[in-house]
Amino acid sequence: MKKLQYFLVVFSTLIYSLYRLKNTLSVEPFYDYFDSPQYFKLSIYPSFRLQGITFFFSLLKENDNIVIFQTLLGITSWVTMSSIFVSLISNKKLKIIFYLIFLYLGTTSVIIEHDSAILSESISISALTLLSATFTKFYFTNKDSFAIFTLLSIVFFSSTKSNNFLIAILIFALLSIIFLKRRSLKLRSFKFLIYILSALLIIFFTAVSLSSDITKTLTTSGTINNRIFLNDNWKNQTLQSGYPLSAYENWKYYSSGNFGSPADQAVVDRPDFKSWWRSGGENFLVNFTLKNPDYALISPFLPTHYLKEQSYKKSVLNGWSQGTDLIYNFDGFKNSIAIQTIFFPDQAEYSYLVLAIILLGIAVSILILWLYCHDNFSAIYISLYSMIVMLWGLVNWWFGSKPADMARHQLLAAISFRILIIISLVLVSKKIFDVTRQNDKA
Amino acid sequence: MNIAQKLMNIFMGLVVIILITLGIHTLINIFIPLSKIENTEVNKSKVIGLISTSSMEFDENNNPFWWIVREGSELKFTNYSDEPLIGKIVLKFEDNPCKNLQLIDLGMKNSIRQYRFINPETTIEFEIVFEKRETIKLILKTTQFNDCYQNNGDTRNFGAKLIYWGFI
Repeated sequence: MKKLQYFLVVFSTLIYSLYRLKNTLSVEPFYDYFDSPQYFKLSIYPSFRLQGITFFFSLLKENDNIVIFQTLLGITSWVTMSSIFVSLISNKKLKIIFYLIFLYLGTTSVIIEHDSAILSESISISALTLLSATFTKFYFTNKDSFAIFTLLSIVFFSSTKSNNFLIAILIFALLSIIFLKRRSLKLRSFKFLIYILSALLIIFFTAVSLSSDITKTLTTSGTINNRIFLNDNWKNQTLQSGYPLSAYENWKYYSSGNFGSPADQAVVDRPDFKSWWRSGGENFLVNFTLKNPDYALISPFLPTHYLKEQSYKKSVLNGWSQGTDLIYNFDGFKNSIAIQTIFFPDQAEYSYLVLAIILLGIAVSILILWLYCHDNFSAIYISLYSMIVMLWGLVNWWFGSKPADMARHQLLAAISFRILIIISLVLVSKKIFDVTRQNDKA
Repeated sequence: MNIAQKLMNIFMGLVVIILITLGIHTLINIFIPLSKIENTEVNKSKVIGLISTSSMEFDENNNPFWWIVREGSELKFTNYSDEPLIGKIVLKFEDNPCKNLQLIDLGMKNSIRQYRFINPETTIEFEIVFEKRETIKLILKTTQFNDCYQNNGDTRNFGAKLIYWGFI
């Protein structure tokens, strides 16, 4: 049994690695002429893009080198995550089954297509997987080495701007766990030094992410023109704040065809927009969500309730259900061998069905662990993880992305839900197996 | 049960309620309606693309048009979305330079339909079902009294002028 287990793990890991590498070698790197160049500009402070990406891109220089690096990092982090998660269970058969399920999720085109894109998503996904795994392991064990890995993962993870919304929550959660486990943890001075250095780096990345207005201006103008202007009352609120109507007219014009600049960029380049931004526009979105809390909370899930002309394509649920799809949108990916797994079906309605099953599955897992197995420790973990992902998605929907890019910025939340349902099943299976074994012994 | 335990129970209960609400909402309000082919979340008029064997040209007002040649021109409509779509293809035609157009033959999926051309402009509408990302090929031929060549070096035998297409 042990030999078979060993063989299956090695064989599946090898196949997975070759598959992912082969996919990268089969397609052309996707270079976004608007976004990609910014990732090659390494600067310390201020910086539009964070150094966790710009350092590697400027060091590797060539697109071909970058995609290979991203692929190898993706393989390593995904295999590491899968191994760490299955180490939570002792039953050998379950270990193999869940290891294969994790690898199967990791073959999805929505995940691996980003290996070939000269953007931040691939490295962000790798950071997410490492962070999820180390945090989980630290939560369920008393090994302080995993606290260090978790901190390092957070440093890596905070290299993408939209992820910084999570940093405060993650640090708070990590510190709480460290505090609760302080008696069992043996902190030595060198480990303490790593904590301090990591904390400083996280603060630095957060400061850098706030050092540039580029993303904030694009997000604000995009949200106003795509969402807020569709309702007369909100439109009036926006105009009263001094937002220039001509900026909206300009956005409509640039949206109607290819005039050399994306519509959101054309708006933020206007002097009247810049003037509005300096005279309070910077805080407009925050003030707007505070003034309209019902819209702020409900519209990401129910956009049609507020704006009849909008569909669920604009909702956060669309991003959580479908992720991105570069294979069909970019001709250079036509030779891709990446498959669409049942975790991310190709057709919109089935993606929503899968999302519904995942959300309900997570809820049922919490209920089983909480009420049936009386394992509050695991139930709290799944609840906490779910709440973090939902809040992250909600905040990102409002402040993290232009509406046109919404699905791309919800990608990590979409992947997190898939990882979460598998972990939930791991924990439920483990508990049920343990209970059954105890009953058998009795 | 201490306060911390109560708070944890409230938190877990809250998360379960949110997850179940979102799950059921996704199922009932999005999945079930979208399962009907008539309902789409994409704007269907914007996700259908056209590639023609005829070159796209522009009139004096910068409006695009395509010359359908008498021997036949091919129009390929592609559904670039990830949803099956049902709707109507609308094609508007004007006469050729010789003003002798009679009939427009439209071949699609092994069937041929014939439409009488009525001056000055004829609109053809027909229902069509696209699978996700499907390309459907139409062959357009014309019946006219005579050939229609121009004495300006252009070797095309002009059939009909396609001045508008749409998917509604």
